Amino acid sequence: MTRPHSPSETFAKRLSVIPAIIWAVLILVPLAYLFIIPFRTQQEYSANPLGIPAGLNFENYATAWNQGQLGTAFANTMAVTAVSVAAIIALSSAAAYALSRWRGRAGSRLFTVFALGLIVPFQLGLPTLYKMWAGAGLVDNLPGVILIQIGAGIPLAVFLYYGFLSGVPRELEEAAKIDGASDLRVFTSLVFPLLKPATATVAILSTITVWNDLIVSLYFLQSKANQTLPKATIGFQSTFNNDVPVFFACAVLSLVPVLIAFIALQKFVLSGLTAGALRS
Amino acid sequence: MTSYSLPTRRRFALGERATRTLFIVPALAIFTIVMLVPVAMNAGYAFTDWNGFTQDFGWVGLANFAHIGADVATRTAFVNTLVFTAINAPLQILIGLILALSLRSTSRFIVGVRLIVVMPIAVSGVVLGFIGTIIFDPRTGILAALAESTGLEFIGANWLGDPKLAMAAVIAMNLWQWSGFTMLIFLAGLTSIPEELYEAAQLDGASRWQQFSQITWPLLSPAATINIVLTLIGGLKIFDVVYVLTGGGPGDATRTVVMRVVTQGATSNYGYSASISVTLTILTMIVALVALAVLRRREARNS
Repeated sequence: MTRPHSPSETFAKRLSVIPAIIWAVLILVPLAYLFIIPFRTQQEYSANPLGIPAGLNFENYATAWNQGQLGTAFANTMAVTAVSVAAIIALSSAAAYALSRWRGRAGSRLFTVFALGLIVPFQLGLPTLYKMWAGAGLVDNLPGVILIQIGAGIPLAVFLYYGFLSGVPRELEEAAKIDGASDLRVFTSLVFPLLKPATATVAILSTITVWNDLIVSLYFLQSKANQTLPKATIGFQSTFNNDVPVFFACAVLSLVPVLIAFIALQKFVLSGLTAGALRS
Repeated sequence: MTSYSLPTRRRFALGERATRTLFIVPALAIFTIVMLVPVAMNAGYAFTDWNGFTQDFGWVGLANFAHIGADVATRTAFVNTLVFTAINAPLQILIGLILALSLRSTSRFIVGVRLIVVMPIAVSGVVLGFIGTIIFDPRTGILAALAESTGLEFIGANWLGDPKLAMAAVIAMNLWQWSGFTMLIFLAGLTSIPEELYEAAQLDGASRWQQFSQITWPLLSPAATINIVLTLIGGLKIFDVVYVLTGGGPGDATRTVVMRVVTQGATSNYGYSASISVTLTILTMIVALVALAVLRRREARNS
C-alpha cells in the first residue's frame, strides 16, 4: 500500500519526468545549432560544421538582412499576419457565438459545414482559387493573400470558439438582454471578453500558420516587392546555396518574431484548448 | 419555448435572428469563397479532361478515377501516405501521452520543459527543412558526427537520400514538430480530471498503474478522440514536412498524395489531378467519420 506523497511516490514522480527531459533535449539540440551556426563564418563551418563559434559574429545576419532585402519581406509578412489574424478573430468569434446560441438545429448544422474545412486539404483547391483570383485582379496583391489566409483560418477558429462557448453560461447574456442591451452590445462588451483564453489560442495558432505560410505566397505573390519571409528565405537559399551560415541567419530572423509571440502566449493555449477543443 | 407565445418576446426573437445572421454571414462568405467553392469546382473538374489552361474541355465520366488504379506513381503516393499515417499516428499519440503524463504537474521546472517541447510548433516548413539538414545530412549532420564519435556507422546513414530510410526520417521530423501539440491536448484533458478521484483511489490502495487504467485513461477519452482524429487527418493530408525534407524522393519513396495532386495539376493533367484530390478527400472523410463514430461510442461507455 502506497500512502499519498510517500517518499517512494515522490521518487517515482521524479523518475517519470525523464522521458520528457530526453525529448526536450532532442528538440533543443538541433534548434540550438540553428541559432549557433549563423555566428560562424563559412570557413569555420566548412572545417567543422558542428563546432562552437569563436565569438558573437553578427556579420552573417547583416549580410542576410541587406542582401536578402528582408526589410520588405518583414513588413509584408507582418502586415499580412496582423490583418489576417485580427479578421480571423473578429469574424470567427462572432460567427461561433451566433451559431452556438442559435435556437434549433440550424446552428449545429452550419457548424458542421465550418468543421468540414478542417478535413479537406486546403492545398487542393489552390489551382482553382488561383484562376478565380486572377479573374478578380487579386493575384500578386497582398489584400488578395490576406483574404485567402482569413478564409483558410476560419474553420479552426470557429471550431475552437464554438467549443469554448458551450461552456460559457447564458444567464448573464439573458439578463443583459432583459435590461435592453442589443445582441451586438452583449457580444462585444460581455461575451467577447469572456472568450480570452480561446482568443489567445486562436491568435497564436493562426499567427504561426499565416507567418510561416509558404504555399499561398508561392502561388499568389510573384513580385519581389510583395515577397514574404518564408519565400525570401527559400529564394535566399538558392542564391547563397553554399553559404550555409548566411541562409541559416535568414531562417533565424524569420523564426524569432513568431517564437517570441508563441512563448508569450503559450500559457493561454492550454486553457484555451481545455475549454475549446475538448468540448466541440 | 413558452416564451415564444409572448408577443414582446417574439419581436425580440426576430430581431435577434437577423443580428445573428449578420454575425455569421461574413465568416461564412469568406470561408465559402476561399475553400468551399474551389474545392467543389475542383471536384467538378475531376470528371473532365481539362488541362488547366485552355477554355474548352470535355467530360470524360469516371475515366480519371479509373486511371488512378493503373497509375503506378499515384498508387505509390497512396501507399506512402497510408504508411506514413499508420506509423506516425500511433507514435505521435504515444509520445504525446507520455509527455503529458510526465509533465502533468505545474512546477516552474516542468512548465519550462513543456515550453521546450511545444516550441517546434512555431517552426515554419522552410526552417524545418534546415533543421532536417542539421540532423540528417550525411556530411554535416548531427547523426553523422555521432556515428563518427561512437563508431556506430548505421546512425550516420544517408537518411534523406536512401529510399529505404527516407520515410523514417520524414516521420521522425514530423514527430519532432507535432508531438508537443498532441501533448497539449492530452494536458488539457488531464487538467479536467478532478484531483479527488486520485486521492480516493490512493486511500483505497490503488497502484499507479490502476490509477492510470481506471481513472486517467478512461477520463482522457475526449482528448484521445481529438488527438486520434487530428493525427489521422493530418497524416492523410501530409505535405509540408515531406516537401521540405525530401521533395517526395529519393525517386518516389516519400511522395505523398497531396504532392502528387500538386505536381499533376501543374503538368496539364488538371482533371486527373482533381480526381486524385477527390479520392483523397473522400478517403479522409470516411476515416475521420468512422474514427469519430467508434471513439465517441467508447467515450460514452467511459463516462
